[in-house]
This record gives sequence, C-alpha cells and structure tokens, in this order.
Amino acid sequence: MGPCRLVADTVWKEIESTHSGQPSGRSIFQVVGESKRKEEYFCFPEHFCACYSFFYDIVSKGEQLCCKHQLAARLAASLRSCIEVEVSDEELAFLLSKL
Amino acid sequence: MVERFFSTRQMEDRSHSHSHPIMLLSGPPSSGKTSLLFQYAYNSATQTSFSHQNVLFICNRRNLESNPPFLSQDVDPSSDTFQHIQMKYVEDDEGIKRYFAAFHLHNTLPSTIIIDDFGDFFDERSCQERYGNSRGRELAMVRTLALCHNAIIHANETRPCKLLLSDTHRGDSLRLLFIYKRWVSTIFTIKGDGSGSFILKSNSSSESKRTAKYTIALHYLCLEGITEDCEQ
Repeated sequence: MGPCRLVADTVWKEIESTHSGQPSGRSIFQVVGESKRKEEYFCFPEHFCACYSFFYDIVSKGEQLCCKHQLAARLAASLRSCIEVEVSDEELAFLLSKL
Repeated sequence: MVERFFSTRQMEDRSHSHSHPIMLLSGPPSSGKTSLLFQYAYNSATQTSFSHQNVLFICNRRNLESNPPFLSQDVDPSSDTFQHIQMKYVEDDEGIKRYFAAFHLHNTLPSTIIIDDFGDFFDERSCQERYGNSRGRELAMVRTLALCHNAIIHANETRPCKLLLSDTHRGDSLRLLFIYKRWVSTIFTIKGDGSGSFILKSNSSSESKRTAKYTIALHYLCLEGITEDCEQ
C-alpha cells in the first residue's frame, strides 16, 4: 500500500478524535492505529506522537518528518473529519499527565 | 540575547515568544548555569512592558541548597523584584509533567518559566522501568518536552510566555541535543575559555551574534565583556 493510500485509509476508516478542554481550548489528538490491536496514540500533530515510530524514525534517526498518525491527525483536522470530544479542563489535565 | 543572562543594560526583548518560546542553556558542570538562570529570572521579573512579570523557577531543592547560585554584584538579594520569582521544587520528571499537564488550569500564568538541570530530573532506571525500554530516559524526555511545548504554545495564544531550560553537557556538546532540537528554538552554549572564564554564545541566526565572557571565580556572577561575533 503506498503512503497516500495508507494515509487516506487512516483518515477515513479509523476513528480519530480530538480531546479539547473546556473552557481553555487546549487540545490533544487521539489516533487509532491500523493494526489489529487498535492501539490509540496521543498526538500533537505538529510535533509529537506517542507511537514508537515517532521516537525511532523521526526523533532518533531523523529519517522522516512525521509519522502516519501525525499526518492523519493533520489531515483530519483540516478536513474537519475528526470527532471532537469536549472534556473539562481538569479531565484534560489528567489525560495529559498520563502522556 | 545573551545580555538577558547578565546584570547589564537590558535591550527591549524583541524575541517572538509565540514562535520561539523555548530556549536551552547548555554548559559543562560548574559553569555558572544556575547563576545565569537566576539573573535571567531577575531580569525577566523587572521587565515593565506588562503589568505582571512573574517568573517561576523550577529546580531540585537539594541541588539548589548545596550549590546556591551567585548573584551579580549589583543585584540586591533583598530587592522587591525577587517577590515576583516563585520557586517550585520538584523531585522528578513526573513532577514537571504534572505541572505542564495542568498548565491551562491556572488563572494567572508566569511570563517566564525556568527549569534548572532539566535532564537531571529523568532518572535512567525508573524511566527504563516505566517504558520497559532501555531508552526509557530518552522516551521520557521526548514526552515531557512535547508536553511543555504544547503548554507553552497554548499559553502564548493569550499572552507571551517563555520556557528556559538548562542542562549539563560533558565533553563538547549535549548528547541528547537531537531530542532538544525538536522543541527548542534557541540554544545558548557555554564553553570554558581555559583560564577560569566562560564564553556564552547563542545559536540564534535571527539577530547579530553577540558572545558574552563571564566568570564566577569570585563568587559573584561577573560579566567581563560582550563582543560582536563577526564570524558567519
């Protein structure tokens, strides 16, 4: 599967959601991986993903600009095709502390 | 921008907080980093372009008490400015993460946050256990830096907010610079000059490069001179 198709599939078939805290508006993306285990990865689209590929390929080796989850999250955000989950600022703080 | 670390005439801070909010001060052991950070905190707390210029200084209490910083000779330790510098003592990286995870909950935010000896908060053993990975410490630093970055960028949507980290390098450079560079826009590097003084340089390409020479040999932070670096 070529990278574009991979990304398109990730955007349209998988569940992406963005958790945004109210009333601060601070947010984080949650992207579901495409493996059978359906791992969920927290992601700041511009600069971070919790998946191992981000750590090994992007940060450590510097081989790629971003991982597929970051790309999917950015596409989902610009296409407004992700589910926005509003949480309280306190809940968001708890989520972020578990990063 | 090296002037910000010394008790010298401060120029208007034209650095764009919103786009370059995270900085790193990297230097060898015992090169006056904590002293420079304290002076930076003092200078930030005296800036008068906004009504409140509160500074938060995050560090390990034991380290600070066993190696207290040296102030510049013309800084009065009883000055009111120090009322605007709040100390926060944390034990480990989890403490830092908790603070930045809850950053958006604060009613008032500091304009400058300083974390002394950032790398020291990440214990190799406990990070390896936490992530079940031999590179656990690096994983932990990546996550914490990303969280800090997200917090600071979000804060900058409403008002300027900067984060200044320090870390110790042994040898010529910081081993984990490749991690810091992802999230840190400006890096200040300290090098010994071989005769008891230190040279502070910035990697910023957006302004004329000035280097500062200083010493802490007399138990004061003493600026010896600032020179224009003409090398390109």
